[in-house]
Amino acid sequence: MEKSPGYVWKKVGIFALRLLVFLFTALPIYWMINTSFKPEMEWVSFPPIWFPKELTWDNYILLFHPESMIEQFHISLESAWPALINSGVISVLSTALCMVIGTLCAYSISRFRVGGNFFPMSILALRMFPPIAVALPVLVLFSTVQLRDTYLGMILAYACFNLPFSVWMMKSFIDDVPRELEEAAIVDGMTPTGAMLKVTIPLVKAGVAATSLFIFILCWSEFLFAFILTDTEVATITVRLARYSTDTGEMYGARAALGVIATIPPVVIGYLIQNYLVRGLTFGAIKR
Amino acid sequence: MWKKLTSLPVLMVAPVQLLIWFMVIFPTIVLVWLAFCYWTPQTGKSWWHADWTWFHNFYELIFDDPRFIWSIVRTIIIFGVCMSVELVAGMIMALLFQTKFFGKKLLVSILIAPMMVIPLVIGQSFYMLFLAQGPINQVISWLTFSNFQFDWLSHPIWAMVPIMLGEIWNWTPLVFLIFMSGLTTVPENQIRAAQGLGATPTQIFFRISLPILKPLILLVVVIRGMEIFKIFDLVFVLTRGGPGNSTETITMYMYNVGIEYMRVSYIAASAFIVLALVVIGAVRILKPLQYQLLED
Repeated sequence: MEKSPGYVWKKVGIFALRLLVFLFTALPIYWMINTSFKPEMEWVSFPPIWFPKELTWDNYILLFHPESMIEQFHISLESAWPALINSGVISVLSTALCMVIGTLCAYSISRFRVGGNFFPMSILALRMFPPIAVALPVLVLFSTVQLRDTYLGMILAYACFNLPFSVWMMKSFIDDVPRELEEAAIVDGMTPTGAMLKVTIPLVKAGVAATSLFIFILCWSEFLFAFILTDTEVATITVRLARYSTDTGEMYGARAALGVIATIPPVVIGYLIQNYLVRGLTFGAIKR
Repeated sequence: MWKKLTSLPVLMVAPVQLLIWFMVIFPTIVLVWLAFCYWTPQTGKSWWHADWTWFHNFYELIFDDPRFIWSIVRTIIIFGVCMSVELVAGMIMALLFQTKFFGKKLLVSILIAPMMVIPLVIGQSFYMLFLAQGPINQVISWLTFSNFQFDWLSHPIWAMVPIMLGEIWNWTPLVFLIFMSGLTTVPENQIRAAQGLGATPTQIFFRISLPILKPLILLVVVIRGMEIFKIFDLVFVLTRGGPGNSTETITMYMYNVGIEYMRVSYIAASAFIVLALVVIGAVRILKPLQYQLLED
């Protein structure tokens, strides 16, 4: 291609567009991190401060050692530790439950076509249910059977509403394993259950890992169910985050700091399973 | 060989069935029961002793509650705007990243970061960005050489902008990734042939690439549509449905009335209507998806 002036302008234009996309993506993330390191005076100062002159850890200390910062901020926040632990426990356990029953179900769908088309599609339709339409009667029920604000209640809720992802993603992985392998194992004298556990499941190990991490992200980020079904005992990190904005007035620094802390696990895990994200979010429809 | 296993497959889906019955089907039955009753926690009765009021709740919702109708309309508007912006922006981004260039891999992995950020955190970040004296207004001031101090979040119409932008920021990367991998499936020899015949890049895009990407576009619309319909986290942090009720989406409306005002049976009725709409929609929407997911 000859390098005419038009060609140069096109190059510049494309570069500018790429830069614009990058800036648009980076701005909210940057502003969050930026604010979390600002001293109190600069949180909402005018004009806004883009590059704080001195960075401070005060906001993070305020989150994890609120007692030590009472004098400085004249406010006593609740520590963020319980929320982090609650989120961790609930996310890990509900991911485990969701994966175990979801993988069994996916295997059954993939190999035996259980329930024809209707059953797998109805699991997918779970994702279309507006969560609040389910959360409301679940709240009424849970209050009756004393499951509200307990780990068990939250774990069951999360495990159930992430089933569409675990079932469909695992189905797409199991579909990739040729059925002949199991048939060969059965001919060689294995039981069907043994063939599943010893032949197929080891072959989709990577898929199981990716799906689990993916579901962990979803559980960790979930807000509506956590907000409605928990109170004080098992409040998750997202609930804590929402409460900071109502209980404490305009504590932007603390909110930003908690936002950054809460975002680290899903982002780290997200990059670990980068290649599976699209597959997960499209229920296994797009395999890259 | 496989015939012997007839009981095994059923056993394997049993736990999932149990969980769905406990968490979805039984609650839905409770929901339907409540929808035809008058019940709030303050009545002092257990919910199974509630007074049966037939269609009173539904009547009030449909004929006496513009707030409910508007929340549906508003959600559809959000869907329309966000979906079209995400599709166009995702497609433009995918086209921008078609050629190889220095640092492409790094840039792509930075651009997909928004997908992994917690929606609630995105809401908080956009809240700070859109403050009257915040950075967005500052940038606008720079660009227009004026002193622009507009309070986005307390304007009944413009408060939608941060909400929609948050949603767009969050999910355009997914659309971008899907289209980027889709564009690699466009057969190169067709493009070469078209070039040989003198087609312009625009023509190639609209006549060759776009038709091939059509099923992907449909998939994106279905999958993102399902999620946008339920939008809550962003609205909750940014406006809580305010000012007034001017940014209330369906979920936000149900939350405000059902949880804050405790009108449980009333909201059960509205949830029933929404569920009915969803079920009708699901049958239509999932058909093309089923084709794509199961018939391979």
